[in-house]
Parts: sequence; structure tokens; C-alpha cells
Amino acid sequence: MKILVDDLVINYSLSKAKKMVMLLHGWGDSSDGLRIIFDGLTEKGYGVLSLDLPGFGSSDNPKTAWGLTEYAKFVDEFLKKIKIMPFAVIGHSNGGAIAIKASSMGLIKPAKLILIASAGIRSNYNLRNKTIRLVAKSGKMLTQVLPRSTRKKIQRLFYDKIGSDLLIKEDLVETFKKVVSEDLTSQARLVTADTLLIYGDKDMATPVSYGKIFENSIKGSRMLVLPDVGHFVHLDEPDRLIKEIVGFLNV
Amino acid sequence: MKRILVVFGGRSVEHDVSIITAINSIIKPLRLTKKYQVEPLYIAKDGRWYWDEALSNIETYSSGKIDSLIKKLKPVNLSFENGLVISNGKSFNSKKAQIDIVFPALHGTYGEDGDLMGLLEMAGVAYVGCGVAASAIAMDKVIAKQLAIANKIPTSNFLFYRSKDYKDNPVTVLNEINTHLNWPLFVKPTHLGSSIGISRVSSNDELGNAIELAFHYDDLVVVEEEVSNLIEVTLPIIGNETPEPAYLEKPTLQKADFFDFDAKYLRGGKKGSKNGQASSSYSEVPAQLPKKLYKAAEELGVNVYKTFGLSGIARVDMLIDSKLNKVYFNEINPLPGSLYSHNFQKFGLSNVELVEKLLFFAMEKFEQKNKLNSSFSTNYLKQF
Repeated sequence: MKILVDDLVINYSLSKAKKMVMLLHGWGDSSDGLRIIFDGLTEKGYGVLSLDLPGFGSSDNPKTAWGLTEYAKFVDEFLKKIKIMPFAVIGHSNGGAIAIKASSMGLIKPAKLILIASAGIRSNYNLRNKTIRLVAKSGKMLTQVLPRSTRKKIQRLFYDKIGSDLLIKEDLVETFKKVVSEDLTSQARLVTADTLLIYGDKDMATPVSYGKIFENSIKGSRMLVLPDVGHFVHLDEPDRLIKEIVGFLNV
Repeated sequence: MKRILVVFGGRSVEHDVSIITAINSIIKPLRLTKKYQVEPLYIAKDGRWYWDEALSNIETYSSGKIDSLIKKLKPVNLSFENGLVISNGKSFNSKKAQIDIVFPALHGTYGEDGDLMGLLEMAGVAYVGCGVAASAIAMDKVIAKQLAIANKIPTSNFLFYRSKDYKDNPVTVLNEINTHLNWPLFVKPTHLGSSIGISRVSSNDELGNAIELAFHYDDLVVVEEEVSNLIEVTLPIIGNETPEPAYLEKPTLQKADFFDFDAKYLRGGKKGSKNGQASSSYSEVPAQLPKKLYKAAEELGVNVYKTFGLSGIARVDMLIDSKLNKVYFNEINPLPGSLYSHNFQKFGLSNVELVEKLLFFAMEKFEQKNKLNSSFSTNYLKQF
């Protein structure tokens, strides 16, 4: 289904029930990527609303570079437009960061918040990031003499090598930079929802240490660490994840 | 050797679908025959025309190289010397080609809606598919429904609105819809195909959002009743004076509420097979219907083809109320995506035979038109 929000065509899936849960996907992903959670919750009798965030899936790209604030405001606008107030929000990776941001701004007020491998902690990798930035800048200067296409190839190889998400959506580079520039440690303290944090112990992108920071910041939150699970918890352990989510939502 | 110009891309939301239609369903089979010189003419999203062999390679688009390629190319010049001549520049060494037949592969605006056909008529060149008026009417859902009603062809109840009508008086529009139409409803942009901007709605809140979405794509929006006990069918037809229908086809709906763009082209639909054609999960060919109902739908499709003056190729979409056994005309697609070659193949017509037949129909229509007298002697100017 499609809807127009702030002049952007937004794609979403909706299965209505009394208790509505909203899903927010991560960077480079789409609502399709969270289909396992959508189906799992629908089977258990929950209504589910899952959208392609601007720039992803079948939704339009943002018209300017967006940060977490713009994404949080967008989620608010979207919910107002379809007149649904979810009692729970589940965010994966960057979707988790958006959920924290929107909660801290008071734009969404779910009773329950589930953050799966949530992003939003930027300080831990400061040294690594500074090193990468230095290498990237030096590389940029050194490759200025090369033709544009060769420069692009080298840049692509570099980002590929360091495992950066920057090239997952090349048309959203400025948005990506803006999104990852914001650390949510202090804003997480403003989250009032009953929160469950789920992280995989093999997650390299958003390690367990991020979860611990959020656990310390979000009052009353609890964290679950799943063994032998990576960043895509819903793909590595779908059944266990659904069980944990439903258990938390039913309390 | 006849020179065939395949025109695709275009200033349309169906730009990408057009590329697949052109390369997989027209250029490749035409080249397989080794009987034609096939020239790819790509219209970029900004409306500039380009002509280069690399434009007939799907990788040019899938790899994203298209942007850098067209930066290097010179836009095409057209001239109408004994028909249509294309060239890629004005200098002495520029490439030039006289075109025998144009094969339009454009979907949606500025192509499938008759705009391109008008240009080709002015150039006096043969072209595949429907003419100017038939294309324009077919791509206007409001006029098509009105023409159907005028010819006693059943179609679902509908209302239509201009953008200004809704912006000025949204409450009046919503009240009128609530008074005159029965829920659930479909809201559609009038001039688009591939189900872009179409919503199925069952409440006033959804209706307002759906109308707003449709106006994002078009200035004219149709709101129509859903046919109950629905079976959706489509009938691809080729020919000029004597229409030749292929199989009646029934799209198989899955999780999508209705057959939207993603279901058609992305969600294991036409992408189901790599050449951009329908997979078995996408539709049932031929549609499994009671014989009488199948025949009624086939007859209605052919009746629409003749009534609307369609030629070359078109696809007629119909809606069946399976309880009342009643068939309704829904809409026409004057250039079906991928030429619906998967259907013709099942019917016994290979993709190569299909494109060759379409070239034959193009020449037949062109020659027939050339026989008509376009001059008329008068003394009118002598009085001045």
C-alpha cells in the first residue's frame, strides 16, 4: 500500500488488529526485510504496521539530507496520517535509533519498545572512525590526479574493505553521514516506554556494548543477549526472537 | 534489410518497465531473425533522445552505467525526409539512418498515450501498435469508461475529479462519493498504467489519503466501485481489422490487496523469470473459468478492441462478478508490458513470431492509410 507523507510516496504493509505494533527497519533494509517479524506477530493476533522508510524499499528518497530528527518527525507524520497509534514499536538497527530519537522527542509514546541490535551509539568506535576518516581524506588528496571513474573504483574498494554501510545506498550518502553523526546515549535517558533490548553476541555492527549503554540509559529496560547471533537477529534466530517479543508484549 | 527503430525509456513513471519491454521482448527477438537492422532509441527521464548500440544492452541500465553513457552521447536529431530520419549530430561524420518501421516500447505518458504516435504520423512512417486517438482514449480511464457506456459495454460505477475540485471542496467530493458509490472503492490516477498510484479503500480516512496519492501522479482521478465476487482477467489481442485474441489470463493475487506495481513487477511477479515476463505465480494462462464465462469475457475483450479502434496490439482488462457471471470492462493497455509474450507463447506464438506479426500489422495499417486521399482540390486560394 502507498500513501503520501510530506510529498513523499511511502510504501507500507498493514495488518489491522486491536493491538498495533509498528516495525522500523534498518539502514539499507526495507519492510520486506522484517517480514518474518510481521508474519510472526500477525499469527499471534497482533496488528502490524511496517513501512519502507524514506530512501528505502519502494518509498521515495528524502528530498534533502535527513538526520535522525527528520526521520523521527517523519514517523510522527506518517502515524498521524494513517491514524494509528501503535502500543508497541520494534526497531532494528537504524530503525531502533529512529525509535529512540522519536521517543526522546515525545513524538511517539508506545507502551512497549523493543530495540533489536539498535544503532545510535557512536562514541565507542571513535578511534576507528577517526582513523578511517584520516585514511579517506589522505586517499582523496592522493587520488585527485586520477580520472573520476578510477577514483570512484578506489573509493568503492576502500569502503567495501572497511565494511562501511555508506555504499549500501549511494544516493543517500549525505543522509547516511547525518544519521551516523548523532550519538543517542543522552537522549535514550528520555525514553519512558517499557523497553526490551535484544543483541546478538556475534554482532560486529552494533555490538553488545551498545546495548549495555542503552540498558544503563533507559530506565527500567532489560537486555537479552542471544548466543551465536549476528546483527540480523531476526534472520539468525527468528523463532526465538518472535517468542521473546511476544512474551514481552504480553506482559 | 528493413530498419526498425525501437523507442523506449521515456518521461514516464513506467520508464524502467519500458526498458525491459524493449530489450527483452522486442530487440532480442527481432535480432534473432537476422532479417532486420534494429536501432535502439532511448528516451532519458529528462526527455532527451539517444541512439547508440550500447543502449540495447540491459547491463547498461542495471549497472547504472547509463548516466555516464548518455553524458558522452549527442542527443538525436529527427528529420522528416521521405519518412523518418534519425541522426546523432549535425557534423559531416555524424551517423544517419532512414527508418522503415518504428516499434514504440514506451509505457505511460508521452508514449503509450498517443503523443509519440502523433509525431510518427507527422513523419509519415509506419509504426507498430495503436494509433493516436485509440492510444489517447485507451490511456484515459475516464473517456474509456464513458466510451464503453456509450457503446453499452458494462463497466463499474465511477466518479471522477480534477485536482482543483478536490482541493477546493474536499468535503463535497467525499460526500458525493459516499452518496453515489458503494464501498469498497478503487482510486486511480486517470492516465497511468502498471497500477501506479492505485489504492483500494474501505473507509473515508483511507479514501482521502488515496485521492491525495492519486493526485500526486495525475490531475484527474477516477473513483470506482469494486466489482463483488471479483475475478480479474486480461486478454492480450493482436491484429488490425480482424482481432486475434490470445488466452484469457487470470492474475493470481497473493498477499497484496490488489494487483499493484510491486506485485506485477517486483514481488516474484514479472521478475519471476529473468526476462521480465510473468512467472507461473503471477497468473493463470489460460484462465480456468467455466466455458460460457470464458467465452463471454473473450467476446467482450474483442468487442472493446473493435469499438475503441485499437490496432497492432493491446490488452483489455476485465472484471468478472463470479456470482452474477457478469463481465465488466475495466481498462485498456495499448502497449502491454513485455508485449505479454508469455501469454502468446502459451498460445503457440513465439516471441519472434509475435514481433514479426506486429511489424506486418504496422505495414498493413500504414499501406491502408497511404491509399486514402489526403488532398482535395479547391479554388479557395484564388479569391485572395
